[in-house]
Amino acid sequence: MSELISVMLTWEFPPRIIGGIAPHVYELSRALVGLGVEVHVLTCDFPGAAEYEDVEGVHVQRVDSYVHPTPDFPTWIAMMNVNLQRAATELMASLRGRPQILHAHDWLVANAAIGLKHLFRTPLVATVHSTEHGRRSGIHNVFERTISATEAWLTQEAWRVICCSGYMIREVSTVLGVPGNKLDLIPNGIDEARFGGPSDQAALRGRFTREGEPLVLFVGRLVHEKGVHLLVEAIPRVLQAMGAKFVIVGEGPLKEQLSRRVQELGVAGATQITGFLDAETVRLLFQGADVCVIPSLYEPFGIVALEAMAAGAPVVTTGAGGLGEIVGNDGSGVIVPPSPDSLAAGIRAILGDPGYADRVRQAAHEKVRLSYRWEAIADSTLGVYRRVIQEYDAGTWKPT
Amino acid sequence: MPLRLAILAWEYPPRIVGEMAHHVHRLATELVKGDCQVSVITAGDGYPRYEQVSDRLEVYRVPDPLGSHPTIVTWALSLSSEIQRTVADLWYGRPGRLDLLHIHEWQFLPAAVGLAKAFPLPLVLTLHSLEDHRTGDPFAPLSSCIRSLEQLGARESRVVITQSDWMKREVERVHRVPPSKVRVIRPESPRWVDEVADSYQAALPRAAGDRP
Repeated sequence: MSELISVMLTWEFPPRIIGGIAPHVYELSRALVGLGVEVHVLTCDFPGAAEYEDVEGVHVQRVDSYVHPTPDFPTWIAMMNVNLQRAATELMASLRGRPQILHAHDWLVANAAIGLKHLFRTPLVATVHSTEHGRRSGIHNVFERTISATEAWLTQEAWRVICCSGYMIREVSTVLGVPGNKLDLIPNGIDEARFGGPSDQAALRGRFTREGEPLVLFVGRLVHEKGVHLLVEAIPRVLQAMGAKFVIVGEGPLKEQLSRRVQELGVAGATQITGFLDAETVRLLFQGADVCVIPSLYEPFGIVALEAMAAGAPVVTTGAGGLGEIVGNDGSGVIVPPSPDSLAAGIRAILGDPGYADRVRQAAHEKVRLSYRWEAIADSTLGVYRRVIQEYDAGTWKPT
Repeated sequence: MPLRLAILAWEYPPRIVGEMAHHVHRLATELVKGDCQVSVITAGDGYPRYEQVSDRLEVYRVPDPLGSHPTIVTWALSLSSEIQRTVADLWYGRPGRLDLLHIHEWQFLPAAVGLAKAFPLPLVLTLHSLEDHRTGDPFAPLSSCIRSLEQLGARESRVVITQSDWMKREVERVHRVPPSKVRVIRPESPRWVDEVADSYQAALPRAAGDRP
């Protein structure tokens, strides 16, 4: 019998994938099982997915998510939480007496989680993946105000709050008022195998570059905060010194404007703006890229850096937000100020010195392997669980 | 030993919105004259959080945890989690000192259903009215949310109390509750409080065996 039980609440779990929480909980829960934790995931139903499923040792229960018309998103979330809590109540009543942690992912499950915490006097741990304030650049209406207040309520009720970057820790403490000594920094992980793997680079090279031409890659939404406009301005500054092909992958409101600018700068022949590409092609591009440029101006975590590093593409980045924590001044990437000149210098430094590029590639790979494996992240999470259980056992809130 | 019960109601004096506040106040006051000990759990921002009315009657007023709501449903359901905290604190703080939950209307039904299941406690529900009668369109998005919460409560309760034969038939029709579960107790009846107390006894099947 397991030392510890984790009851995780999340509104998305594969095959229901809406954003980053589903892959996060999928990887984390399996890695926790690998460490001997008994993990139950309660989540929303999904067409064709089983009500109960054993996912490599994770007990996944999919709950009727109230798929009826509701007046607005927070009201639907509230109704969905009623059903989520009912299912979890049955489960937790059957687990009573065994050491357990209730682990909530984001405000979307706060209602259910907070009630359950009190019903069973089970300590609550919350992971805040992002904040409404950050997602919306401020709070502007009743819906955003309700969501932000729910985030604050969840963090107040949680025994400990986990964030994935130092940047998010600061955001959660300033926006939601969470005291620093309640916050734990545990990064997101990466499944290295998914980005390693075999690859057919010949076809890729034929499609995007000519023989011997280095490939400079950008992957991300084409929006201001991703800084892709800085990269476009940097293209002629790189081409002055050497030949290269710039491949910009992603969609977004800036697409037209960027294409126009590429024409104006006279670099259209060396630039391709691809729009959305399938996951396999993106994986091949990461593996084949000679440089991956991440020129973001705002980035809560920066998973794209981990993907590039795991695939073996040297990263040149502004280091904004969480990026500067993944790519440090330790040779695992190149950090430059957010300007076209600096980005061009960073790209040229990698392309012009294959030995340097290899050292960066090596250091990045080592770093991903040491710090961003899901096993390591699950281990840190288990550390938080153990600490909470210890404090809980020593305190007076635990029922006698 | 008196019967110890928690009454959950979204309005209670001095916060009076409609008829129900008076009804619940009268009920609690009358019940404690008999063999009952009552904790009233209600909503209340800006009123005292706790009030000890007598050694048999106390009132907990639970504040809104969010302060911003697009609909009454988000208000009721976030407050439901705080209601669960309040009753759970009662339960764990005074072990064994709660026998039954009596809830009025739909607002805190998710709280009551969770509490009833977790501890476990029998649940008695009084339906003063139905969303179907209050709204012009029971299948409009907000009304259908409320309707489904009513239905959840009607199904999870051991006894449903209505105040007229007509309402009993409506509850049976709208929420498909078996007639044997619904009791008509008229507040104007001279035996009103005794009949409510009888319904509590009916909801306590196990206790009936080991208590005279």
